[in-house]
Amino acid sequence: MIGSQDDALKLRLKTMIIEECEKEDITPEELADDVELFSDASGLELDSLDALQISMGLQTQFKIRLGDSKDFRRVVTTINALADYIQPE
Amino acid sequence: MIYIHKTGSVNRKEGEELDVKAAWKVVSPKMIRRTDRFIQLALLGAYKAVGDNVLDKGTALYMASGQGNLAVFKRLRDQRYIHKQPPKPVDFINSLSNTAGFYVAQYFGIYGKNLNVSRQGLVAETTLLLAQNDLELGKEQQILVGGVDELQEPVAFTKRTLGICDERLLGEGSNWMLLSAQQEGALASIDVVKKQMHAADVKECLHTLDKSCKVAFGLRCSKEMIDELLDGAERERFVYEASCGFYETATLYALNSFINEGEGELLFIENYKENFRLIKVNTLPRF
Repeated sequence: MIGSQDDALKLRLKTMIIEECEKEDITPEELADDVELFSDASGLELDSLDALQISMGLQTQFKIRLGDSKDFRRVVTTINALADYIQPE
Repeated sequence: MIYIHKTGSVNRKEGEELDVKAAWKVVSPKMIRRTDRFIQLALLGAYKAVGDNVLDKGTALYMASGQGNLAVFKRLRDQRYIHKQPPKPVDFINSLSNTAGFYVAQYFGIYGKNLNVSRQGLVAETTLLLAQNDLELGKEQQILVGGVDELQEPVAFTKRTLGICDERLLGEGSNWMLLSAQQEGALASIDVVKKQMHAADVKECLHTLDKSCKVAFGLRCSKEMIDELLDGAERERFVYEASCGFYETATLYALNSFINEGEGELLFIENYKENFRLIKVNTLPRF
């Protein structure tokens, strides 16, 4: 199953992002699947240090190693896009 | 002479519970991100002293700690050598020596000198002495002085590291006071005796001390040492030890407790390897 259709995977990703970035005032349900994570619309107010934390979370919890910031910006856009990258089929 | 204008304490003895995060949520609805328990402990103690008052932007901050933020170094070690992962960015940043001081200064909007003093033995005493010197010399107008220590598990290992006997319970705390050279509105005066003393000097000091002055001893003073120092002299004691386990900065807890509970004059005596430091506190009338 492609990642963007796997609700359990997306919940894990949202929980990881909220925990790594200490955004405990936001629930996974409030985080939309198709919103740009690093945009104002997400309500997360993430910055470059959050990006590093998310990168570490992907490495430790999902065994995904993103080589550099270009890779990160390409992959970590929305929850759907990230889920599809982790689970392409 | 310098003066104590505000005091605040968070204190926990081994065996008691202290959920710092929950306690912080009670005083402030907004959790400060990227802080660990040690930093939260520092923030909570400082908040107990300052509350919602606005401090002068030039206020300096001197923070003492016996062990510093040891927990973050344990996490970094585990990440690197056990889990074979690079350190978490936030942990790496928080391993800098005065990160807790930065967060406290940022929370209260103060931009003065920010010092972190860490050493084993007499760390609170030397930090207070430094603050006293800077205020007396006019280098600073107001200083927020704090002492923060977090209890580290396993307790037996920590006791050995600290050089504490097995019978003494450990503790943790975050104790703060706002100092200035201005007497108006102060809770108490404080005088950190500049000279480091030997036992004979302390004995002499105790024998010439005014009878109305209470005496308290630091947690590094054993019962035998106290008996020897008092040398049969009848002295009214200020007892704070029942509510306080050992941590390096517990001196600030004792002084804050006296200011909040006691009245009159206190001579506080602490030692490290039989080198003694004395602090005199005198409460002022409150209106």
